[in-house]
Amino acid sequence: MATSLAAAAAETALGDLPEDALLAILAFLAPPDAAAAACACRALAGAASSPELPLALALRLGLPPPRRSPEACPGSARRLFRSLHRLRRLLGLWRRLPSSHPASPSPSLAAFEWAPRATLAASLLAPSAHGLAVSKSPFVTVSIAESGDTVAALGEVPVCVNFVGDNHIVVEAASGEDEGEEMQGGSPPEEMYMHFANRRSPGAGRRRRERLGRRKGGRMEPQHFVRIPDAEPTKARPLQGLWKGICENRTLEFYLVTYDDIGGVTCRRVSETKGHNSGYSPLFWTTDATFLEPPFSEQELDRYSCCEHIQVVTSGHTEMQSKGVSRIMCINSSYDLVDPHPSAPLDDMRNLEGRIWLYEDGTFGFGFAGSNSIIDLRHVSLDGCIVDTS
Amino acid sequence: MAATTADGSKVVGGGEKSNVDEESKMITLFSSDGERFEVTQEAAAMSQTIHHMMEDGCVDDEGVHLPNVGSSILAMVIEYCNRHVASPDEKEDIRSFDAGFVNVEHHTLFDIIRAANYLDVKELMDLCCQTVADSIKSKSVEEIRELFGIVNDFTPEEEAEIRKENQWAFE
Repeated sequence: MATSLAAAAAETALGDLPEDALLAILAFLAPPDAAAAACACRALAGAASSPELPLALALRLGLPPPRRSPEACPGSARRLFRSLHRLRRLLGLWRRLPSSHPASPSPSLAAFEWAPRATLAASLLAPSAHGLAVSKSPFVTVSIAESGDTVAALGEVPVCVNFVGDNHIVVEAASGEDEGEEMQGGSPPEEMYMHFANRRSPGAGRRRRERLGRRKGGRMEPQHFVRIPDAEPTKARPLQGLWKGICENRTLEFYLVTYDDIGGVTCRRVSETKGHNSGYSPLFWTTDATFLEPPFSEQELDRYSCCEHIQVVTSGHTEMQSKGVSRIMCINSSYDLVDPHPSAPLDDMRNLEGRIWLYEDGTFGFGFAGSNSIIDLRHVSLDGCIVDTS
Repeated sequence: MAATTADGSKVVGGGEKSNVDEESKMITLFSSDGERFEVTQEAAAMSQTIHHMMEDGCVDDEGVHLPNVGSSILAMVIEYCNRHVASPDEKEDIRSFDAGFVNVEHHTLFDIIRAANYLDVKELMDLCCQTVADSIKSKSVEEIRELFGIVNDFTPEEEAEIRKENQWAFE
């Protein structure tokens, strides 16, 4: 055993690592953290400004190696690194916030996924006309220019996709400059203020757009989206995620189930944004997310067997639902869902209780007292991919 | 007694471990300080470096000498590889193993990174680099230096220049 002095001298330090290793470490860091590390010592500064860094990040993300800009200066490598991180942060599912002047109903859900050549393609998700399938319509594409900057477009119209904090983005017409402005740090109200304070005056934008002769007339209304952070269930949270199911109207609807910090579960229906109905209305909730485990009581078994699964009718024959129930949870409904125009006094409907039946395959169904229907839900995405699209 | 198997690789007689399955072929690894480690070829193949050597038939009867990896670190790398080939599907268990595995002093972690880099064990490299990155997150430059005992080797002019270039870290 070496003496402590000799051991200390021989101990490997961060700066002793080969550049490959430093690049690998930096590739795991968001740009601000990588920048802080770069200021620590020469070895890290060298790795951080190396054109190999965005390459390392691209490889880690499973993307093709980025095109080398002819300038290939540390600045362009850094821009490329920052853009790759921005694209990575955009990945996933997002929910549209209702705008102040909804011109027409628009799908509330957007999915950002990798497309060929290190591009991010966003699609709007909507119920398709066919049963349980989800239709995807093209939305924004985000790619990286040779300069390393992020470039976004909605069809042919250049747009900006800016982050307001980590979980909120704004998609708006490009003012033509500084698309990559990003607000870092500060509390959410501060960020919102900074974002809007830094916007160009409407006049400047419009003049520039007229100069460029944009075909699409009129200002594009900024569209706000918030992230859906947990879109898939886990072992510990089997109900969590974005789900789809056929509701009483025999149409496909989207449902978002979230767990809160105090052991409760809430489900909201996510529908197209239209009018005063925010498109994100509460459906059911519970403060106690513990399940009833088998063996179930006679009462529970009777209750389940008396219910009818709402099924999708496809070309004459109905899908057979015969899934085994693995666990049951007691829930409460929001009264305005069950009957938007309650004929009964409000008090009677307020705490309508219901059940969630968790099936063996990981999906679940729910229903309420007073109705004998079960709405069965399925995953919208599995392992990061949207399933059942048409 | 060494025999050549159908795919051309040599089976090193694993006489010491009598409970080793006939099917699992062993390979001997030598650390820089001459210590000898017997591992299954499957676990050793997690190292792309060793895997290529085995494929190219460069592994002789003696085994593989690893002059760049000390015994204590090699033992840890082998422990990692053994655990990961054993039951790759039990994600929760492996996650907790990994968490315990990287719970070591920084200099040990750096040694493991060096070894994993040299041996090209991608998963181990990712795990350790992610761990180092996690300790860097949300820290100031001074905090990063203090945490890892990094000596500031910039001249004052260089430091000013670097900070200017990375200005966006401080906004």
